[in-house]
Order: sequence, then C-alpha cells, then structure tokens
Amino acid sequence: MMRPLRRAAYAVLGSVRQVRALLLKRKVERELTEELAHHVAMETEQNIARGMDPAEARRAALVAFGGVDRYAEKVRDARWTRWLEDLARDVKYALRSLGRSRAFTGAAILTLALGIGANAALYGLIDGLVLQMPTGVPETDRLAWVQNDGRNWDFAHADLRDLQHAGRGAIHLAGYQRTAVAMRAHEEPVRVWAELVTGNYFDVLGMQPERGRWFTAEEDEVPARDAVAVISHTLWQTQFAGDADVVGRIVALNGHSFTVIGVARPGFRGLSVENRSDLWVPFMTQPWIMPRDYDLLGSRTHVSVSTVGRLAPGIESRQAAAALGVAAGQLPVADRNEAVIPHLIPMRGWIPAGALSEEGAIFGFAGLVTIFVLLICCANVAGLQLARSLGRGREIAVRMALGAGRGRLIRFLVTESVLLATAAGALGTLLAWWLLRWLVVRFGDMGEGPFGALDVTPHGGTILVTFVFALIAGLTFGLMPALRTVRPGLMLTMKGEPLGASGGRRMRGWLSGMQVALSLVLLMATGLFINRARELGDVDVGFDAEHLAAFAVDLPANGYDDAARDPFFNEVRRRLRTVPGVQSVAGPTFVPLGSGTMRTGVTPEEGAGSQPSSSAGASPPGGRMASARVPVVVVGVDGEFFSTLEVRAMSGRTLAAEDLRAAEKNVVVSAQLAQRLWPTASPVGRRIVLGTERSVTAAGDTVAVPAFATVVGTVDPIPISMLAEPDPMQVYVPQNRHVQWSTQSVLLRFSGDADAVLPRVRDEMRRLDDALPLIGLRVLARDIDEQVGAQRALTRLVGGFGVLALLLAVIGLYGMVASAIAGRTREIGVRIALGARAGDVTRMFVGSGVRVACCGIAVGMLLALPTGRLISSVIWGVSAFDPRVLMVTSLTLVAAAAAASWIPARRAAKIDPMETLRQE
Amino acid sequence: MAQTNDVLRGTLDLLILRTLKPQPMHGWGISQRIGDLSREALQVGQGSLYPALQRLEQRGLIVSEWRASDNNRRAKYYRLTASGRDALGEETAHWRRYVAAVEHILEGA
Repeated sequence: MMRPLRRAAYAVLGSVRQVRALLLKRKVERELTEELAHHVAMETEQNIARGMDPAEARRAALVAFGGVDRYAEKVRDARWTRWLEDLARDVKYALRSLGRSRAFTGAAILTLALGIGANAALYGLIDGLVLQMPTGVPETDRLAWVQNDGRNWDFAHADLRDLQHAGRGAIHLAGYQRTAVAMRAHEEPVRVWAELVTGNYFDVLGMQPERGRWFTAEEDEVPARDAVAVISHTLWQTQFAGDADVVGRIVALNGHSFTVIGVARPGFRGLSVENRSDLWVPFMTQPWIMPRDYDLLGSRTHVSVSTVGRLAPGIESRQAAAALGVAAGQLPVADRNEAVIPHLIPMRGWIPAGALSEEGAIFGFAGLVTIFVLLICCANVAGLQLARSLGRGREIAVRMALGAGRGRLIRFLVTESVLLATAAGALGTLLAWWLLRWLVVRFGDMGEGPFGALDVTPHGGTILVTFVFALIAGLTFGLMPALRTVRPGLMLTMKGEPLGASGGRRMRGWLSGMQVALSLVLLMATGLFINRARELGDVDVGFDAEHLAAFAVDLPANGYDDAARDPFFNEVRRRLRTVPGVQSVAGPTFVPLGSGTMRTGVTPEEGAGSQPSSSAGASPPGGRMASARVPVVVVGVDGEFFSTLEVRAMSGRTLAAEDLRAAEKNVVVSAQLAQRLWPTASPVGRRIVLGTERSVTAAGDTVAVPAFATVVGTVDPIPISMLAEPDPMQVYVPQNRHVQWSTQSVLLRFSGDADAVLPRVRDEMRRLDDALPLIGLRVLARDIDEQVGAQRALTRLVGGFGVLALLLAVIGLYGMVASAIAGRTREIGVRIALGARAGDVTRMFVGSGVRVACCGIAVGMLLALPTGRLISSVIWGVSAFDPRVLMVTSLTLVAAAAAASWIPARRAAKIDPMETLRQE
Repeated sequence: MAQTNDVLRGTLDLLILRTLKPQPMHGWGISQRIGDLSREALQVGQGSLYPALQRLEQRGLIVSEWRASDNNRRAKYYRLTASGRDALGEETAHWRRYVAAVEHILEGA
C-alpha cells in the first residue's frame, strides 16, 4: 500500500525536476556539462596515476569518453520535457522563418482566413437560427423539450396539468400554444401572435421580466377570470411606442380587455425559432383568445399543447423521463385513442422540426459552397507552402544531413502550418463576424423571417468551430508538403537540384487544376443565378401589379360565423367601391403571388369513363392520350376577380357575379390546360370532372360521384408565386364552390397614388368593423419586389463566393507558374543562352498555366453538370445548364489563367543567362 | 573497449541501483565500481550511463545532489530513494529468477 504511494511521490518529484530542468534550462545545462567534465577529469587523474603524462592522460580520457557533446545530447533526449523544449524552439524558429517570407505569410493567412471566415459565418448562422437558445434563458442544459410520442408531439391540456402535478418532484413542465389574435392598443387593430401559456411558463424558463412581473399560479387556475398579458419587447416598442407606463395599461385582445402586467426581455419571442410570438396570456383566458376551440381547457382529446420542462435540482434527464413515464401511466384512460408517451429531448443542440425545412435547402447549398471554398483555400496554401518548400529544399537537405530526424523536420513544418492556421483563424473570426452582420442587415428586414432574432456576435461555439476548421486546414495543408519535402532524394538536393523538382511541380499542377475546376463550378452557379435574377426582374406577371392591392381578414377568429361571411363581403365590396381612387373590388378571392391554392387533378368528361363520349362526336386521335388525369392548381375567385386584374378571356368569357349563384358549376381554365385536355377542339362549353361530390342514391345511401364543371372560357395562366414553379395548368372556380380558408383575401384595383388610396381603404374598413385587423394590406408590386429581392441577395452571396474562388484560383496559378520558374531558372538561362527569344520563354510558361487551367475547366465542366442539376432541383427557376454561361465562365478562367501566368513568365524572360550559369 | 563486454541491455539500471545501495556515488565512481566489482568483465559505456542516471532520476528511484568529492572536486552524487530500494529488491529477485531459468535451460539441454 505504501510502496506505490511512495513511488508515485518520487515520480512526481522526478517530474518536478524535469520541469525545473525546462525552466532553469541554462543552469541545468551547465550542471550537465560540469558532471560530464567531472567524469573526464576523474578519468584523466586515473590515467595520470597509471603513469601517463597529464596531456596524454586527458586525451586518452576524452577518447575513452568519445565526445562529451554527443553524450550530453543523449542525456538531454532522456528527459520527457524534451518535446516541450523542442516545441518552443520550433515555434520560435517558425515565427522567424515566417517573418522572413512576409509575402508568403500574408498570402497564406489571408487565403485561409477567407475560407475559414466563410465557414465560420455559415456555422454562426446555423447556430443562431437553430442551435441557439432564446436569449436570456439561463441554464439551458437543464431544459428539455417534452414530446408526446403517442401523438404528434403535443399534449392535451388536462393531461399536461396532471403530468405537471405528478412529475413536479423531477421536472417542472410548462406548456404553450400559439394562435393569432386581433389586438387593439389604440385605434388601429392589428393581428399579432399570442401564446397561451401555463402560469409557470416564464418561471420554468427562468427569465427575468424587463418590466412588471410574470403570471402567478392563481392567474391560470379559473377559466375566463384573470385577463392578464405579458408583451414582447418588440410589441412594446412598436405598438406602445416604448411607453414607460405600459404595465397596467388595458389592451383589447379579440375584443376583450386585458391588463398588461409585464414586458419580456428584448429578443425573447417565444421558444420556437421560426414562429415568433408577440404576447403571452394564461391558458385560462382561452375562452376569450380562442373562442372557437371551446373544448381545449380540460380536454384529454384535443392534443395541441407544446411542452418544455426544467429538471428539478439534482435530477438527471433519465430520472425525469422515468418519473414522467410513471405519471403518464396513471392518467385517466378517458376516451382517448392514443397512449400518452412523454419523451425528453435536451434543448441545446436539437434542431426544432421545420426550422430547417425551408431554409434547409439553401443552407445545404451554401454549406457545400463554403466547404468548396475552404478546400480551395487549403489547396492554395498547400501550393504556396509547396512552392516555398521547393525554395527551402536545400536548407532542409542540409538539416537532414546534419542529423535532424525526419520526424523532427515534419514536426517543424507542421508547427509552421499550425501557426499560420491560428493566425488565419483569428482573422477568419473577424471576417465571419463581419459577414454575419452583412447577412443580418441584408436579410434582417425581410418581415417575418427568422433572421431578426439572430445573435450575430460570434460566441464561444463559433470561435471554437473556427479554430477547429483552422487546425484541420493547417494540418491538411501542412502535412502534405512536409511529407513531400522530407522524402529522400537528399543527395540530389545537395548537388543543387531543387528538391522534388518535377514531382513538386506535378502536384502544384494538380492543385491549381483542381482550383480552376472548383471555381468554374462556383462561377457557373453564379451565372445561373444571375440569369434567374435577370429573368425575375423583367418577368411579365400578366397584370398591373403597381395598381393592385390586397389584404386579408380572419373572420372566424373575430367572431363571424359562416352565415355572416357573405353579407360581410358584400358590404366590403359595396363600401370599398365608394372609396375615391378604388376602381374595382373582388373578394373573397384568390390573390396572385402568394395566397392559398389547392392542387388536384382533372379529366375531361369524355375521358372520365362514366359516360361514353357521344356528344363530342368523332373523337380526335389525340383524344385518348388527353383523357389522362391532368394535375392542376385550383384557385377560388370572386366574380370580380378577372375584371379587377384586367385579365381578358382568350376564348369564351371569364367568370361573372352570376356564376357564383348559378346552379351549374362554371369554371375558367388556363389556355394550356384547355390545349392539353382538348388538343383540337374548342374548350368552351365542355365539361370536366373536378373532384367528387356527395350524392344521395334512391336507396338513401350517400355516395361520392364525379363532380362536373362546365368550362366557360380560357385565360392566360396567372403566376401563383414568383419563386415557385409556375403551374400553367390552372382552374378558376367560383369562390363559394371552393375550399373555405379561415383567412380570406380582398383584391382591389386603384388609380393614382397608393399612399393616398390605401389609408382610405383602411379607414373605410375600420368604419365597417373597428375591431377587425387587416392582415398585410399592400400593393402587389411589393410582393414581387420582396420575392425578387430575396433571390437577388442569394445571387449576390453565391456570386461573392464565385469571385472569391476565381481570385483564389488566380493566386494558385500565379504561385504555380512562379514556382515552376524558380525551379527551372538554370534551364531558362541555358535556353536563352542557346538562343531562345524572350517571347518563347514567356509563351512556354503562359502555355503551361493555360494548359493546367484547361484541364481544370474540363474537370469543372464534369462537376458543373451535376451541381447545376442540384441547384435547379433546390431553387426553382434556376436552370441546370446554360451553354452561354458555361462558355463565358470558361473563357473568363482561361483569360485569368493567362494573365496569372503572364506576370511571372515575363520575369522569366528577363533572366540573364550569364548570371544563372555562373551560379553553377 | 572492444574486448570488454558491454553491459547487457536492460541490466544497467539494476547494476546502477545495486552499486548505489551501500553509499551515494558520482557517475564516474559508478562506472569504476561496476568495472571493479565485475573484475573488469563489464564496462559501462559513458554513453549509456548518464542517460540511464537521468532516466532513473526521472522515475524517482534515485536523487542527485552536488557535493565535494574525496579529492575536493565538485561532483554530482546520486543516492537511492526509498522507492529505489524497493525497485532494487524487485529487480534483483526478478534477475535471479531469470538467470536461474536460463541456467536451467542451458544445463538441461
């Protein structure tokens, strides 16, 4: 028992000596010398005692010893702190040698910093969007999402309350549910997003209010008693103008008066990254907030409450899950269909479902791009490093000849790389920070987008990731040339032949070629994006978007029942037509560029199979082909829709007000659909099968039978959205025959200035119902601008990377040619001496650069095709391939390659043969 | 040097520890002592002696200090630590078992 202890103690003591040896290096070295000198002295004395004369005795002693220095070195090697000493020396030496070649150092650091910065920025973005917790929530590692595996992740309200109670020793649960409400803080009602939350919601999150207080447990006990609300900082600023006395103010939510009791901290908009909320109210206010969902409170079947939990002190996630499992088993069976299966997911690091769905594709693409760029950067620095090591070949060969171990040399070269990478990492972090700012400024004002909440200050995680990138990059680009450099071939190098002259050049050629290939891919992608952005800029939407406006209302959420709907819209149309400047009003109706549509399939009556085609007469040969079910977009429009848009019928007529009331279901189809269904005949008057309808048979059974509709006319297709694929197969059905969305839109055409007309529309609507919020009152042209703007920003981003890649490829080519020339100076000298003209030499090297570029372009084209396909599959409207773009890109690269090679090549042509030959 | 046998690899540590058992000694003394005790059969090369001392010190089996030597020179003296003494015991036993085993094989063959 004592022995190992004692041994450990002495071992520690021994180590302490080693460390001391490191710290007091000079003293220890002196002691070592002294000790060895003592040895020699003793040997000498013995020799004298044996009868030698003193000088001979000493010489004999030294011979016997065999060189004091050699043994001193061996002794030093026995110390484990040796590698630390070496490291310190390597670092010192690397710094000095990097300082000597400033151009290389600068270029390498800058190149790497670009690559690392781009990657870190992307990571920062993803981190901010999906990995980062809402600001101001402490101890997030104690928080967990609680999901119900039994059914769509959510819990029923009564179940949650039982679980809250039963599991309170292990985990504190809080629930929330988001809904839209009409809020009136002053005259103008606005639609905001509210969250019904359990009374302990904020306490579970552990946040402090900016102002006022959170809810008390009592305020969430009795249905429809305590009308209290907490508002977000943003809402406080925008709707209450930052009023210092906002706490205690009365605000109407869906017409019921609530008291504002608190303001949340800036940045907190609820737990969901993609669905931000403006205010919070207790669940018990649900009868006022969500009057239609009357069965939510106390329900065990209405599964709609999202749940989070905070682990009780000292409880592990596993224990809490077990406790909840037990509690769930004791829930009343009631008349539920699914079991309640609580499941804990730690909050940090979990990507909320759906957060990435839309942006995911773009992120994936951007991620691919940045990794490309980092690869290029690494290749470039590896190339620079290689060029430098060629120049250093002699120095390294000498070191090896003097006995430096290969491992030692590799370590030294890698140390240098890691130093470079560290510097680049620091610079890259700065760059990432700047890039993130740009992104937030650029995308931050895109309305409801999630970017507004983004925390752009690079924090620990981002910085860590950056440095990991940097280190990996450093090792990658450092090790490869290092291994090359220390490869045998020592004698050759000593003789004056640059180390690995041909092999090194070949590798540089590969690197440069790869860069050209990658930049071709990026530039081509940029070209495709630019094409698309230009197309979007002058796309003809088929109507005058500058003089069309639209807004939406949510009638069911504001106390209107189905019966009140038609009278309401009749009144809206009647009143708005009287507003000065308004020329035409349609509603409720589909609004182009972004409102709800439905997809289904249609067949012509002739091909439906139920009736043999008799009325159509002789079926054309194409008739059978056309009889297949055609996928279409169905939109519900008002009788005034086409006249408001000023879209005319291509054949037949458009829909009119009478069609809404007609017994027959009349529809308008797009010209393309008509062409597809009846390739040779006129579509007007023909019938299509559009879904099914219920019919009662003679026996009293309800059966589904095909629903027929009569085509009354055709129109040019109207764009549904700028960014989605246009679907030219369209069917316009009267709105009252169509799916009823809870949010209904009104479309109006006006003349003159929108700034003058829209406020009057708003005033008129308020006179009609002063509690009803108008959702998104805007000119349609603004929708187009916004959608085109997003595409433009993306184009600029990809384009930026493309230009960056081009720049890097040019640097790479320049480095390649320059190093080739450096390695072949003597050969050039001989050539010139033998009569080669300056032009020949220049041509030779420009030719080598362009050749490499051409190989790169060939490889790049192979890569460009699948990349193009990937992009076009992800972002609609971008074509997968454009020969014009590919040609322009390739020519640009060839020109850039020629220019990059020409600069060093011209220098080569100026080589003085006498000078180089004299160096022999 | 060529005629004399170099100390068998791996046994040098044991020899050093054994030499240091009676009293502290400096490096030169250790090499002399090993030569004497083995009747010049074993010669410790300086090239292995000093690294070995360094190694043993690092393992905490010996410690060193500067002292005046018999003839009034400053010399670095090494002495066994308690754990060095333990190690010597173990190593000796181990060595004896090893030698006996080898002997056994040689006799039996």
